[in-house]
Amino acid sequence: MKYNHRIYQISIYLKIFVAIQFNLVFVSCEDFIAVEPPNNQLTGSIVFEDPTTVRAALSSVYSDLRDNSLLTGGTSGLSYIMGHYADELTFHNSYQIETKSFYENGVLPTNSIISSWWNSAFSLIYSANSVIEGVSNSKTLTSTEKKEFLGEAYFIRAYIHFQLVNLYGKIPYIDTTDYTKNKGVSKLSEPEVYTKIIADLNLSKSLLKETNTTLNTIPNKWICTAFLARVHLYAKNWDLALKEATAVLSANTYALNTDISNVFLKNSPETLWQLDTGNNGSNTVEALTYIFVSGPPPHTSLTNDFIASFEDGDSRFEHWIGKVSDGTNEWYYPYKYKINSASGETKECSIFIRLPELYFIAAEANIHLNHLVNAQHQLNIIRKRANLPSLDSTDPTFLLEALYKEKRIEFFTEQAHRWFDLKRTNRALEKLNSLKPNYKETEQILPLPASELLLNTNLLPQNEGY
Amino acid sequence: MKKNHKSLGRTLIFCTFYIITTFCYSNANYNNCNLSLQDSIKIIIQGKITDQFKNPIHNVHIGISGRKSGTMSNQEGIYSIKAFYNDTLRVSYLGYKTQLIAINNRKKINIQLIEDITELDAITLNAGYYKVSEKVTTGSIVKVSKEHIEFQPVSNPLSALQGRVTGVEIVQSSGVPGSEFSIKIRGQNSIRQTGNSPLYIVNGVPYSSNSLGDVQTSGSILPGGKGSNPLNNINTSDIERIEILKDADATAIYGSRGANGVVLITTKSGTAGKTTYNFNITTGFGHVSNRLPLLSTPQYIAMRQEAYRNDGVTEIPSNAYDINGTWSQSRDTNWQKEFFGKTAIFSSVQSSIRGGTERTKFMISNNLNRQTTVFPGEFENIKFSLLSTLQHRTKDDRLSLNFSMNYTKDNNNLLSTDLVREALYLPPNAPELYNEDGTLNWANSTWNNPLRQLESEYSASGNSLIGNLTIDYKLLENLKIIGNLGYTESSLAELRTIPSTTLNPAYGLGSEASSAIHNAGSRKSWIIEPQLHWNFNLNDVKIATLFGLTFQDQRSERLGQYASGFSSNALIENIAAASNLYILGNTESNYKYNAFFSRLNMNKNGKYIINLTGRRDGSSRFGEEKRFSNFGAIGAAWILSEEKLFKRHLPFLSFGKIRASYGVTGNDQIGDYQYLDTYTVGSSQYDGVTGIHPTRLYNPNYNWEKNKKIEIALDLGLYNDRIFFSTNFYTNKSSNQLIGIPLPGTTGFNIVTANLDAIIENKGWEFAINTTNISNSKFKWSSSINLSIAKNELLEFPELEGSSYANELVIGESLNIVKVYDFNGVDQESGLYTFTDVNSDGAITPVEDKQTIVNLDPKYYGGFSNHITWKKFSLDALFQFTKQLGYDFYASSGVPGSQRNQTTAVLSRWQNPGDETSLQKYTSGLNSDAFEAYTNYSESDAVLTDASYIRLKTVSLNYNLPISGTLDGKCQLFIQGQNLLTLTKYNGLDPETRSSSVLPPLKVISIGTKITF
Repeated sequence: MKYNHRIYQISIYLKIFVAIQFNLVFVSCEDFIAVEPPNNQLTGSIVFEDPTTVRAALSSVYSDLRDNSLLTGGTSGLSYIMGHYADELTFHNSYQIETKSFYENGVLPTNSIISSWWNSAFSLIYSANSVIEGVSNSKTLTSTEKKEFLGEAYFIRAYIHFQLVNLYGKIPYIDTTDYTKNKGVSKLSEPEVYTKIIADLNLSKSLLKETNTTLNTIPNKWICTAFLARVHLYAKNWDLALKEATAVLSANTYALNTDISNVFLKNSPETLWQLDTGNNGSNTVEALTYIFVSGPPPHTSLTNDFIASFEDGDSRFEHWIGKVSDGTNEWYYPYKYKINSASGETKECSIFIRLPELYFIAAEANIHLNHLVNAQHQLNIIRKRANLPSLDSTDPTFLLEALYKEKRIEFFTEQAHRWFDLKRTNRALEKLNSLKPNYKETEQILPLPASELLLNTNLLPQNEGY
Repeated sequence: MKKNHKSLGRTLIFCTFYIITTFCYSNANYNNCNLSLQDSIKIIIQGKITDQFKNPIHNVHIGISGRKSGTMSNQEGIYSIKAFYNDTLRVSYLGYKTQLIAINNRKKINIQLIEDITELDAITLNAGYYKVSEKVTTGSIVKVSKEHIEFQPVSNPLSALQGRVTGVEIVQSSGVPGSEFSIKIRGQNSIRQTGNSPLYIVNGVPYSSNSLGDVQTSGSILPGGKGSNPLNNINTSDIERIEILKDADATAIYGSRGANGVVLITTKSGTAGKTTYNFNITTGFGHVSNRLPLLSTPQYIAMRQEAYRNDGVTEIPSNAYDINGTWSQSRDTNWQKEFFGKTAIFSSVQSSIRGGTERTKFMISNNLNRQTTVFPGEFENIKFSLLSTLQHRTKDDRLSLNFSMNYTKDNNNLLSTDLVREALYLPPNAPELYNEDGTLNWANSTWNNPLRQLESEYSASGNSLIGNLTIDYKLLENLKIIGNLGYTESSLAELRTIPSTTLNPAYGLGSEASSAIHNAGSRKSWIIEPQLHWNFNLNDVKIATLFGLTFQDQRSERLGQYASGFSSNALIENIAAASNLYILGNTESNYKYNAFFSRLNMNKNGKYIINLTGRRDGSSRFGEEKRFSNFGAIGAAWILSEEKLFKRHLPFLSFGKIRASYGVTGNDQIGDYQYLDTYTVGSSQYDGVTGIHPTRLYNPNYNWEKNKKIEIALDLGLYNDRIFFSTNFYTNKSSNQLIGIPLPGTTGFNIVTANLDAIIENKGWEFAINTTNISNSKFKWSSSINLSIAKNELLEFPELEGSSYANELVIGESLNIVKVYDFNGVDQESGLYTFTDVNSDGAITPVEDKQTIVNLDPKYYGGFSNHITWKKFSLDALFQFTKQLGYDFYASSGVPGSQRNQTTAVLSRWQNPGDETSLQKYTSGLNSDAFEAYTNYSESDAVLTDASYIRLKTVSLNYNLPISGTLDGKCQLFIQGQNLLTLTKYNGLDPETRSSSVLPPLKVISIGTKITF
């Protein structure tokens, strides 16, 4: 009896214990732990209600393109790295192993440049897709606003996929923000990727206005058309390449800069697309990268092979090449951009597309289409501007060789034009063999990042040779 | 301890007595009759027996000293006994002190029993919301007291715990002042590397251990890139004790924050009595004790030349300045001595005053600490701290107040890059550091002078305030309400300068190219915890209950700025002088937390104890649907030494306890706002517009990580506790893993936050033995040894093969593994490293061929300490040991033969066909096969070697100076050593950091005086 009584007592106490517990839970208000969103973040849906915030979202894409992506003009960008990979630059810094392995043709799938290019590119593609989805679903933006934003976003998506397909070969084409789809995505063949790039660019071209900013810092219809011409050229669609290039050349919106020393200034009339420097007074990262004042070079200089390829009297040598000497040795550096520190007002911006490229595209397409006189004429326009004598032959082989040589000089250390031209015309082995004895044909395509293959086995196999 | 033995004897006597008296009681009438015949002046004494809470106690035996008669108290505690007027009552009851009370002709004697506190009882453990004696605790709580903490010249309290506590793995990340200590309590529970910190509570106030620093400012000097560790802001000499809560029983009351264990830090407080003053002055000298045996210039040059020969290069390239004649080939500098060979000076001055009455006590203590570095240049860390405490208890004992306030200011001024890497890599014949005119020597752009790093400074200025007020009000004798109020505020201002003088003058850049990165972070948090404590007896069961609520709010802010383009380098620290200034980031976050917690403890006769704890938690870190969750634990203990059976048959067993616990705790260390779909304001501009970018991949549906803990433990005290042995076995299973699941780059991000149904198990054995080897009035020697054997294992991971973790984790293996190539030695013909081609495709490829699993968890670790007191001397020595593997020197040495110095071990490389050696031939890097073989080697099991070590962690010798005269005080002289000796086979710089690129923990010898009067 006594024992039962004790159990009864315990059970009473337990009930009190539990009852108090439940009462207190109801007292502790759930509202207490509700928090406001942080002051530095906007919820996704709000961004696409207002054109100002959509513009801010796109601004971030362009500034990333300028600062962090594979297209930056700094030491982590294509111009610099692929300049070493091809025959433009000599590497002097033995501590930078990752870049050195590009210079010495020993790139491994674990190279961090390989993965950072890949990741930064897809991060920008995500941002572009996010804008495409957000703007498409927006109920408050006007149709004019929507057209403009979508046109830019499709352009960016195509522009970056184009760089990737040329660097890595077969790649996936990412057109959604849905990570559950993107994490297991498979590769497409190169022609398939080109088809998608061209579709995006055609769509973009139909949406974009002819002009939007005075300094051409934001993609417009002509920028898109010019780029489409390049894509068709790479895809060997000579007709279409010529058509798009001619459209830009005959629009009379842009003109070659007659003063060769002013080509890379921000107001140059031949600039189709350049990137805003961000802060007023800042100049290009290219200038910071290449210029040095005493030898030996701290990390890079132009190759002797490249310097030797200039014809006598080429005014580009005088204006676009810098020279340093220690008395016995001489070194040369790219001096297209001349201001490597802040100035009162910005004077130079990184240029992504300028008019001479359209002359080259048209000329190359014309040679392949056997319009040899037109091609010769277009090449001579560029040569004349550089103070060089006109070519008088119309032999297609001669013209093509002359065009490659001319383009190498015109576009050195600009967005890896040289490397991509060598690769797409299958001349890399022939041209690089003397400089890089270990060069192998499979090195035309970079390896896919090792980490990426670990995380998505659908991207296997690794590119040949790695 | 002798007392304990006596009490055991007494208890035995009592037991016998009990049996006899029960027998007597049944024959009481007969006896009474007998007695009354003998003496007629017996009187009847009556009274009530209670405990200290005035609760009646029944079944207490009341006997008469020297006689056999006796009686027992009834349910109301009332007794009645006949005795002579001059007899003495003997009152005894298990668990209480036996009392002898002279009757002195009184007829009514009320007796209040006093609990028998043995030494174990006297050790009270702080379990956070409640205190419990070590004897009756059901949980796994380890205490480290001030004796082991206060004299050490350390800046981080965790350092004092190294090697002293079972189940707690503490690793110092670097020897640079301000660097952090990583701590894992019973292994890694979360797959996320950042989700494994324990909860720190300082004087009842949660203290965030997340640094306010930024990787851009501190990343290259303080490893981990997290900046100064906030725990450095707690002055070690102010610490009274640190308790570590490990199992479910102890941690479940902390609910969602208890999964990784809890570290409770309690600071010193005032003492009643004479006001005492205390001065403590310490000076120490620290240096790097280990240096690697690097190649001398002739050896180095021979290596380089051989490398080019091996590569088939006859003409030394123009950029190989070290051997093409550009640099002198006769210079031979010990760069280790140049770059980290200085002696660091440690100095500390501490003063305190404490005193008061029984009701009001106070203490004020302050400390000034200065520490320089072993790097060249004038760098120092100065820390000032102030602690004040005040306690008051009202006259009626109802209200008591306990106030403490701790303020610390920490100025850490360092160079911005650790020079250890360059010291090891730099060719021994590299040029002079300085020109004759004292300027940096750039040797015509042939090198990047390592001392350019001295031009670039890192400075951090931190403040920390921890305030706490506890109000304790007794409503009734056994019912009290407690209010715990706390406030913490921390701030950290960091600056990293990158003046143009760090750049090669060949760039021709001046101060317009100088830049500075500023980072300012602050964190404020408050906490309110009302609690109700209610203790009562239910028959012979003592019940302690506790109910409480927590409201906590924490706000953090951070502002990062990048300034560049100065008119002069002298103005580099001034943001206003910059021609370009942009914001790297401005973030603000708010964390709110709300909980209800309770405890019910039942103790029957001091033998059987059950402890129930629970908590319901709500946290703002989760989406609206997932904010609340319940956690709880049950613990039980059986004190078998209180059983008659054991007392009778195992008299040498002075204490024995078996305890067990089971419960669920949680983990919410995922960061704030991770469930929101947002765009974040960026730092860069375009066309005058500040960009915004998508913050993360969006997933609002994640929930708490759960951690189920089971523990069973045995504590044994033998021969009056002169040998005290504790062991336990635990199994913790952590599920619902809250991880950033790595994603391929094609998703645009590297991770998405989600719960994963993976289960991680940590299980292990922990042993501790404390012995008193010799104890007499002149000489005392005690030892303690502890050992932890832990195993971490990934038990489940649904669809691991198809997941993004497929190549990082393996079911049945630890989380802390690496998958590497299987090294097959050097090919005797080609002289190159070879590896197992697992998939036999003719090439060594990272995915398929990295199939060898190496576990980097320690197999076991522990400590061994001795304490000797002889006359006025006392000596303390602690050895710490760890059995583990680690990346050796070659993992990061660069390819032997390239323009990097190597250890002399490379001399045994392959030279000629047929050579049998473990190191391949030299290459300058131009031989791509050899270079690739080295790269694969650095990712193979060959570079994972034994990094076990035994380290003489601390030694201290104290001498109590006899003070003559009237001055009532004492003077203590002490000499202290840290990291004095390390026994290891590891070939890198330090086996604790397992790295050859960060500064090793310093060997410090310090001397000091402590005066108290």
